Amino acid sequence: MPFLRGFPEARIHSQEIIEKALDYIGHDNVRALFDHIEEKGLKRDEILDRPEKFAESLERLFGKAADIIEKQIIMEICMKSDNVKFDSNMTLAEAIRKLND
Amino acid sequence: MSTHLRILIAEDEDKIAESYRIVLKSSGHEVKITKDGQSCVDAYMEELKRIRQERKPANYSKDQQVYTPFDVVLMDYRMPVMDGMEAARRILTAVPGQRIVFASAYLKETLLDSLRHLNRIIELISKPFSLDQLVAVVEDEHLYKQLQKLNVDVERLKSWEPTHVQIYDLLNGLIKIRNLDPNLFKKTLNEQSVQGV
Repeated sequence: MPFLRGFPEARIHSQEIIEKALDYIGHDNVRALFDHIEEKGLKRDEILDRPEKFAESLERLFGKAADIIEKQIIMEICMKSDNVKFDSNMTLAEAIRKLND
Repeated sequence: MSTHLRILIAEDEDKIAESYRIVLKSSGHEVKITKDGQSCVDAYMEELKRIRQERKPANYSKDQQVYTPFDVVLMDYRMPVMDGMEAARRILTAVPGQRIVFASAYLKETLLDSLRHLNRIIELISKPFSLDQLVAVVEDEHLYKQLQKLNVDVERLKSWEPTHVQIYDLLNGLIKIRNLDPNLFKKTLNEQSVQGV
């Protein structure tokens, strides 16, 4: 969605893609995750601009399980966005940056 | 349980080993039996060599290149030729990320021994145990049950074939962000096994 870059609607859509990918951990857990990350200094609406910080937070919280969580977000981004083609070496931060481009 | 696990067993009593093999194979897992610590280490190293030659990552972790030839090594604590603790030490020296579950009737001794020789608390299944309990521990059913209580879609999670450590870390992460009392979960975990990473 390059033509929408910077528009609130596009950002909301991108955020929704990320949150949708976390559905399987349960709504209460997703909310708790974002609350926790916000307490540590990363607001929900800043994730698109600071994807490295988001990935770091997931790794700090979930250790080795972050790998699964990150992969699911990457897959969801690739499925929902025409801009991002799947690459098994792509990091979460790279995928979010491409989504945000 | 849909995950297919590769399991290496070290058990010196033939009848017991055979019952493990039958129940684990009927649950859809691949099982290799060895009769003592030394033959367990030999079988492990042989398989490790094979997968390294093939460069086939059995369980690959991105931040630590860990090749685990088996998903689980189930080890009897007391065995002839080489005991379980020494066999575990050798395996963990080669592959620190290997999951090892001890079967032991000597809980305190096994735990203290693991701290002394392995510098970690190991997973433990207390003898005597039922074959159903064995399958539950090997398949991490106790961890999945806790995740289910936290409303995690466990079937979806299982479809990605997570490793034991990933399941454990996910549960711990969720306990942390939900500000839940870890002791409530530890109590349940300890009923069947002691978790250590």
